[in-house]
Amino acid sequence: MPAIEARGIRKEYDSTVALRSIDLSISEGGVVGLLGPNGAGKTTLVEIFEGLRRPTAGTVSVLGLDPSSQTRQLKERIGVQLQTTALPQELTVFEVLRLFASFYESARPVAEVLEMVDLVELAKQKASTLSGGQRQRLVLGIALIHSPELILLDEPTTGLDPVARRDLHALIRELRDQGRTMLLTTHYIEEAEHLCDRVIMIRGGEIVADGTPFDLVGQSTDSSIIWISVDGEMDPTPLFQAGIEPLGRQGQHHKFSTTDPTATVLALGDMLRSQGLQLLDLRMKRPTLEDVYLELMRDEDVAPDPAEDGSGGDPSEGAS
Amino acid sequence: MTLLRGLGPLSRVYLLQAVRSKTAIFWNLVFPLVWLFLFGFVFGRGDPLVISALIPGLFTITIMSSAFFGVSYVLVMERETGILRRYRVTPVSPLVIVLANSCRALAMMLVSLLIQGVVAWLVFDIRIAGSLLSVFAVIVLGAAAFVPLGLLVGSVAQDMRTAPAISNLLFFPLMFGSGAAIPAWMLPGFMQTVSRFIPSSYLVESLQGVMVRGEGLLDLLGPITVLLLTLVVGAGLNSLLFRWESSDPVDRRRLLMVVAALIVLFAAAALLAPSFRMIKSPSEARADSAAGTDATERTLLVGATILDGLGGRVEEGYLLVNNGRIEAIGPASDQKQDLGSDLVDAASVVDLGGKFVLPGLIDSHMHIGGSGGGMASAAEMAPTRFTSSLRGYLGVGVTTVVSLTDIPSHMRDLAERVDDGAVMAPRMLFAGASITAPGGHPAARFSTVPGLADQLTHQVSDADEARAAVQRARDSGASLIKLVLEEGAGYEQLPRLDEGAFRAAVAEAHALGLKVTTHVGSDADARLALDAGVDSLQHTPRGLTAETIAALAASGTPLTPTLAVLEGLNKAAHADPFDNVLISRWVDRGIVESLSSPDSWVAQMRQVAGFQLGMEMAFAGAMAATRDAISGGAAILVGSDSGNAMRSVAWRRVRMRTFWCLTSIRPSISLPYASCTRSTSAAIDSTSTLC
Repeated sequence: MPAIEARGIRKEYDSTVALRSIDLSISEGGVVGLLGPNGAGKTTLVEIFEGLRRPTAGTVSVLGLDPSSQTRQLKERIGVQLQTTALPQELTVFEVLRLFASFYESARPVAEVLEMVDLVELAKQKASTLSGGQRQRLVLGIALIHSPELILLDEPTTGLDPVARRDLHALIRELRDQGRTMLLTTHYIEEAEHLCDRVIMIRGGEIVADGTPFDLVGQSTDSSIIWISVDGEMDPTPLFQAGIEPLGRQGQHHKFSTTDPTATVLALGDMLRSQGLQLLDLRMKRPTLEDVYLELMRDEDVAPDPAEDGSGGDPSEGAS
Repeated sequence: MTLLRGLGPLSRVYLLQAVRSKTAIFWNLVFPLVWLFLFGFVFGRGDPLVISALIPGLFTITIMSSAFFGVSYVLVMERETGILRRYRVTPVSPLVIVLANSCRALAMMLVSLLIQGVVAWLVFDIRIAGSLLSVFAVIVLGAAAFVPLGLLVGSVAQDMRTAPAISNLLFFPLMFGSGAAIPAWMLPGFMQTVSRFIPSSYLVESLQGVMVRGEGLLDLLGPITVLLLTLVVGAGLNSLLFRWESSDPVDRRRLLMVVAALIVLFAAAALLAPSFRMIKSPSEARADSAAGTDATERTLLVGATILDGLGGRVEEGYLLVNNGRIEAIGPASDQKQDLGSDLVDAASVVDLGGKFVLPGLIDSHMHIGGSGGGMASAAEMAPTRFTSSLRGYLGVGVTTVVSLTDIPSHMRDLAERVDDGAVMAPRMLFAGASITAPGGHPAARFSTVPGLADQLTHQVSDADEARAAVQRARDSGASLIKLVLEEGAGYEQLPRLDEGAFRAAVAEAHALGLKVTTHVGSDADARLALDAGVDSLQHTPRGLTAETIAALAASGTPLTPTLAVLEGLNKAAHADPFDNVLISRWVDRGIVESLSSPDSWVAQMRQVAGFQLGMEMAFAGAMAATRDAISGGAAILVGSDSGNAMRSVAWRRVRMRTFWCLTSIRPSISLPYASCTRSTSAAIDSTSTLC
């Protein structure tokens, strides 16, 4: 049985359509990333799975339960990290965890959770004094307190510094190794690439790509990029004849684009030999998930969110 | 039970938050004390009794401010900040959130009230009349009843901008309309009606019952039931309006249902609940409870100088009261020996050190229906005009009044209102219309208001008419008959009641079992009255002779000199009686205007030649005659003639004079006591007689 099964989900708010028609099946185990720009519908989709929102149309089954009617049973079995989590004021880390533990039929010992999210030493500290990363670990601890079968994390790393983010990634990998199913939303592409077993890209309320990061990159039509540095004046004309595109030159540094890197490197070797030049540096870059993402998000005329059209900031952040 | 899972821990968390939050501590602990000191020092002026009576209102305000500014805000803030949203994705039920909030609110309220109560006790020495257990029970119920109302506000308010507006909109009417801020008995009539429609009144009423009036929970079933229903209905309605998130809209249909349910509840309460006892002023309430039978406990009054009215005087005495009756009197030093230490220990002791205890006094000549003014208008004769003075009588220790010359129907209405508890008054005996000659005194006095004389007098010319008049008086409910023998003094001549008619009236009254008192103008009037066998004489007869005094003394028929009215008239004849600030303050404004006006009866009389000299001589003569009567052994009673012109404040004088006499400054004058049973009486029935 899949952890999440969604058929034809549509969600409309007053006049806007947040989700058009989502079909999705997520099997048990592993980390699934929901990737998309702000306003793409990620949070709406996750909140439908959590039972916080009802879809306008379509059917959802989470752990075999209907989130809108079997809410209570479902809540016992899913762990949730909301995009912004307010914590009860004036409480210590330990007290926060103990409170949430009391809401569940069965919960881990608080000490175990503290260990798991590495907050043992901060247990007696007021939750309001934690740093961003510590706070996020506490929030994750709350989501894990009842050993949920499915964990839904909405932008768990947004706003964290790189070290805190790396720590959190390690924690998520650990949970994956324990065999848990996790669905996380993010707009950090490298997070999805490094952390997720499966990436679902969503844009304008629709799924635009779905697969392992490797598959997604492999599907890409993009060329690889090759940089070289040589010890003299190079004439790149022979390369052009072999179908290699020049991207620019700065003195002895050259940049090319190619759809066939192997052929390009061989041709480059031959040419340097014939011109009696020495190769000082050679770099090649395969297309990344970012390239795939940017390509997917760019090529259609998506109406820009009016809130993001202004003079800066990130006003749509946190909007659900 | 899964539905309640997390209730304990969440309640504990809420309490922890309240204890750790500085703002919560300020609002729950410091702020209530500010209110207490405001009530104690400003409204109560530090008087323990006054403050004790204000505490129920203060507690109600504390409970309400906690409900509307504490409970509701917490809910709104938790929703606005998204804490409720986080709880929403756990299995915790809305019921647990609401109940845990309520537990915290209840605990904070109780702590606030405990602090207020203890500080009030330590600083202001407040007293609680009922049992502490009942007080606690009412407080818990009242607090619990208001929590759901606070939560409803929390659910309806959109955010922290609208919540204070809604809370204030409810808080102030509930505070001022209920008797919490202003005692209910001070509220105007329509506000007392309004107060029946709001829940806070039922809390004030219940708290006053247990804290001030010393009632038990069973005495307060009505208001307590309303509070219980408020709790149950309010709690039930919360399930209709609870919202997890600010973005969840308030369901208008459900909001209307909630409002409608509350309106139905309080309209039913207003119609069905028993009338509030708090609308009676403390003095009225005290009089009620003294009349009631619940004073079963023995009370021991100690330390006062006790005057028994028979010439006996006990310095630093004790006085044991059982069930409203005096059981024993003696010197305080003997109390244990006399009563036994068990009884003394069991009794509730009231220290009256430095005070005097007197028997209840009788004013044997006054006019309840009189205006006290010049009777220049019908309004001045309104039946209620004199009721405030009746309360004043009680305040100075007069417990029986004899009213001579009134409109009988007014007196019957008044007696009914006294029985209903609407008016507080001493025991009243009344003669109704007095019987006089056609155009005789006092009919001539009432000529300014057409028709008034016929209501206040029966004017008769022969024996048959006189007998008929006595029967009419009896039928109208009169407690005694007043006859008038007066031919007028030097400045006016009046027709006097025919002798045959007079004698017939006395005989008829006695045949009907009624006592007769007689207004006597002159010595001859007094002789006739004594000869006819009347039971008492009113006023000092002009030219009172030694023979008449001897006859008075021999018959034991008492004389009420009413010197006060002559003294007042004498002053009025010479000057504006209201140039004295103190007097003009005590007397009803309408009466002051009536008497001060240049058209007034007094002012006009002042123009009559010989009036001033006549009054001077009358007063001096009456003083001399009274002295002679006293030394001649006549029985003398005190009568103020209050309600007569100039005598509206005479009851104060009655007390002063009586007190001088009791403390032996003028030992020769015997005085009337309502509770004394020794001798015979003129106007008064046999249980309360004169010395």
